[in-house]
Amino acid sequence: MPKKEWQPDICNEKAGFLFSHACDRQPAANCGNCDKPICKKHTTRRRDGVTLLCTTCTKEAGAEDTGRGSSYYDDDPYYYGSHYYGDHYYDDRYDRRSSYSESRRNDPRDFTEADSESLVAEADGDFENDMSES
Amino acid sequence: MAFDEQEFQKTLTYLSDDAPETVLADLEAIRQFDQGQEEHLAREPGGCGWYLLVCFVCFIGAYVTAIIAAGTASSSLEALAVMLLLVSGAAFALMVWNIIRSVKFSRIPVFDLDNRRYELATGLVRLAGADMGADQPLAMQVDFREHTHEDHLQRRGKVGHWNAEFYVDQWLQLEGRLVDGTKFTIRLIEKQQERSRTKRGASGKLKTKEKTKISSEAIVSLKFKGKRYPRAAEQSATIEQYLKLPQWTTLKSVDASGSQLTLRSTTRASWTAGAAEPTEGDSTCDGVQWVAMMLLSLYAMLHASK
Ligand SMILES: [Zn+2]
Ligand SMILES: [Zn+2]
Repeated sequence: MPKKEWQPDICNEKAGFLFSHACDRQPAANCGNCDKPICKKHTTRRRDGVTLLCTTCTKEAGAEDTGRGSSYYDDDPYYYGSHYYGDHYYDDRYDRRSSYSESRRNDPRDFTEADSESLVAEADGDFENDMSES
Repeated sequence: MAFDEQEFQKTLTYLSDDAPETVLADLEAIRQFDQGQEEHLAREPGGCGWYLLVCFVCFIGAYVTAIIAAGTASSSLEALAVMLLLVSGAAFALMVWNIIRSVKFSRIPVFDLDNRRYELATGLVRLAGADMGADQPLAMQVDFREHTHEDHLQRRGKVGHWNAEFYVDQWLQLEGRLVDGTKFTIRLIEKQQERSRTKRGASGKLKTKEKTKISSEAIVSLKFKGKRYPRAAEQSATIEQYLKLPQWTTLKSVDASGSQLTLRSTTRASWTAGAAEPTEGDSTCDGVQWVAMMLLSLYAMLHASK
């Protein structure tokens, strides 16, 4: 397999929880399999306790090698999505510059006050009116 | 701003507007704080009953032995009486010391937090953080006060023969923006009915029965960028086909209007979060998994809307 050219000084892993996207963290290591620069969050350790793998290679190595991805519930957000969506994990290929600059411009909380009030105040019909004697 | 334990003890509410990493560090500090409190509780001084019993029995023993010793002029019985008196005195001293410790202990306020709250909060920040920029702020609020805090009381009423108090506790709110521009809000609500009823039993005595009913609700809202998901309006007509929730939860409503999706589900199962007590088989009701599946369900629709 021809070696890919990795971009230096930035984590090159694209795995996310709900969709894949560029990672903006500093790399802490290189993947022991594909040599990709990876941040701490995107690093798992092979069963041998020494080799570090990126999220993509961890998924490919499977449960036997890494103990990851065997059960539906794995504490790691990067493995939830592929269990839920199956093998064809969605790749959005969000361009790093455009998506980050766009998301920084806005306040994260522009759901209006009214939105949140209406959600909470709305009565829970089932429970509020649970008049069963049991 | 770093987590302020003193301030937290006053309000028992965690508020933050920081990057995911900072919020995770704060939640870890809350976990440490709670573990310290739990260890403190485990060191509570024991009861004084045994000391009182030993003190009493030895004192009576000493008295009786002394009377017999006086009658028989036996010096060994006299020595025994003195010894019993000494044991009785020592037990008395230990009892007093324990009472002082108990009083001191009860003066230190103890906050035993519900572990589920910081464990679930941690799990959710980790999930959301995976799709956020490293320095994007997360607006988070976690209320650790009791369900039955008076601020959560909605109303008092009757349920059949029962007197009931209805509490609604929105204890978690998490808001932020993902790298695709979607704004998310996650809310967790605990609804509780405290029921009690007093009636006269067959013997004529008044008896009070109490019970509690609890239901948890999770609400996930997404406000997405229409231009990223141009077919969302068309897909939202069949949004239900994308919903996949844990079996122990019930879908309450799903609402798609414009560029906003809101999914609500409830459960009466007692769920756990984090490295909770091990349970047998697959019977674990994992709270993080619950919210994760709600988010994944809504995103399944968005992925189909491109
Ligand atoms: Zn790799
Ligand atoms: Zn990374």
